[in-house]
Amino acid sequence: MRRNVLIAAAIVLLFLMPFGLDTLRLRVAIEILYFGLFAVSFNLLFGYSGMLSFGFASTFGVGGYAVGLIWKHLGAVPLPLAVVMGALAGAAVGLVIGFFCVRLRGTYFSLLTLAFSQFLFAVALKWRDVTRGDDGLTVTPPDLTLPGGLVLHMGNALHFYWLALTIVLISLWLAWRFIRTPLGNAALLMRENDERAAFLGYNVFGTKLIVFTFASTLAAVAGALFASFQRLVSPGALDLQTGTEVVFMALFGGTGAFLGPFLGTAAYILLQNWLAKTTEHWPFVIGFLFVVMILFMHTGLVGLFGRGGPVQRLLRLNRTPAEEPR
Amino acid sequence: MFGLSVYATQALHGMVYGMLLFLVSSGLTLVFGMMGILNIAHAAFYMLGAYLAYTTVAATGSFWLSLLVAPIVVGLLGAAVERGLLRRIHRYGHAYELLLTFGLFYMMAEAVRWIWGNYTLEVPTPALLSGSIPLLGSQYPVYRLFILAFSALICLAMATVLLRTRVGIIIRSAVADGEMVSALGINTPLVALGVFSVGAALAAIAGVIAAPFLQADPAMGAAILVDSFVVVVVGGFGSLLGALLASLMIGELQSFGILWFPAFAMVFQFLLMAAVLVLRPQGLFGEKG
Repeated sequence: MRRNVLIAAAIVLLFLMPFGLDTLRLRVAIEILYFGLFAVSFNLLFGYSGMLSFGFASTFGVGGYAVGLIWKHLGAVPLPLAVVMGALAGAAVGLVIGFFCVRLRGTYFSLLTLAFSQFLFAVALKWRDVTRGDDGLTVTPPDLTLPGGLVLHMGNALHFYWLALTIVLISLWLAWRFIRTPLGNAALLMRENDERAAFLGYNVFGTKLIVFTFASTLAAVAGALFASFQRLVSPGALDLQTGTEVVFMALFGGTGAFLGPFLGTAAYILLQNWLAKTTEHWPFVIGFLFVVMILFMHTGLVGLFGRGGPVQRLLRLNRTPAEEPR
Repeated sequence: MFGLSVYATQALHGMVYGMLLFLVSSGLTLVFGMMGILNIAHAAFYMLGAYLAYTTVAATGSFWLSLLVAPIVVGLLGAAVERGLLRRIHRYGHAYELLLTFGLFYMMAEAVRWIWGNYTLEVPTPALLSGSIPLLGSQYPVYRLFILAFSALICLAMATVLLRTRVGIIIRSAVADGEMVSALGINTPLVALGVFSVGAALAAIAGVIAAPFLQADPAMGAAILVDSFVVVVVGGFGSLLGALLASLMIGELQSFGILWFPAFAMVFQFLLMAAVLVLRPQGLFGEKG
């Protein structure tokens, strides 16, 4: 009960937050929203199912290209509908890629996902008639009229923030529900030991394929929001750089908690914005932090601030039940 | 469409790049076979080799000296990475080792930009090997032939060590079954350290001899990174013979791909890698499934 109140309060706060931010910061907040969703969906694969994908940008990019092409060829499709269509495109691509990839384990899986994403990257780069190659595809989301007659202007950062926040919250809720299903539990079991899962009668291939497809769907939603906001999608959206950035973001936050990657994305983007102002060699600092984190605290920021972490222990926030005063 | 000499020249180009790729991939595949780590930082070792060659040549004017300096420096760096970093996180599993080497690659790639600048640096071809000679009906640069001969020499030396010496037997057995070798009283962590370090040194040698041919460029690491992955996958994890054949295959594929299908040259190798992973995940010559 108390937890629900807290979540509701947090959501209200998130919807009101833009009033305290200037446009520049609001744009950063929107970036955090869609990259955060991207990182959470990546973590459904890595954190929950033990599949480290280096090519996860492929479905992110597919979502972006899908909405771009929808608006180019089908006219003024409302943004939520276009995002759903983009998600379906992501699901279809995820299903195909997953069909080949999820049979493999460990490094083999990582490399095959990389191969597929490089292949899609090459297609996006070279199939100029459809994707416009290096120039990128212009994305023109139409303004959205809500049932009450209220019009959300896509060029208005505040309006876009509200819309993106709604879509991201719904997606996060879906992901949260997803990992709570018996299938989500089975995925956890397969992360720990997929041979044992198979002997217990679980369909390892089917389960992993469903998780892979679902995560791809959410990544496509994130990609669709990204393209709608940037108003442009280029092959860079599905290259290795994007595919590895999401790994960084998720690990920064911690892959052991549901919202860890979201936290990591926020920290990563804020840090990157700040570092980029300080030094042009910010990738070095990011790489260094990443290495240090894997060496000494591979539970990420969540491990630092979360239950049982050093910060809570220091503040005595998290007492074990025995210590709890009665 | 093209004369015969064009094909021959193109085939030679492919072989030159293939042998370079083999020098880089051989260390990568041995390390993977022994330790289960796909060392992403390996490509950065290669790049570092090229930049060290630039600095050595700029400082002393001797290309041959750089062929000595770069492998030593990078080999020591490799040893430090294995001993100081990778071994610490071994117990967390391969995913974290992979991610660590990835972070290192990121750092080293940026460090190179930091130290040497974000532009291409030209490394002069050693005077002894400049110019070209008539070959197969056209002029062919001597330096590329040197790359071919030199890497073939290293390949032979490696084969001799691996097949004919006691150290070679230990390394090959450690690739096949590390636990058993360690149970026989052999210090496998030390062997792993050695292989990692020598692999890094080999990558640096490849970087040095690539420098006058491809120039030292901040993007060269990322460029060879993906190619060497393809080689390791296609050849089979841990197999040197596989790496050799796959390297030559990729070299030729790129060389002729650019000649015939310029727009799709970069797709072929990924299709090849995907096909191998789907149909025969252990690679052409790999044994472990």
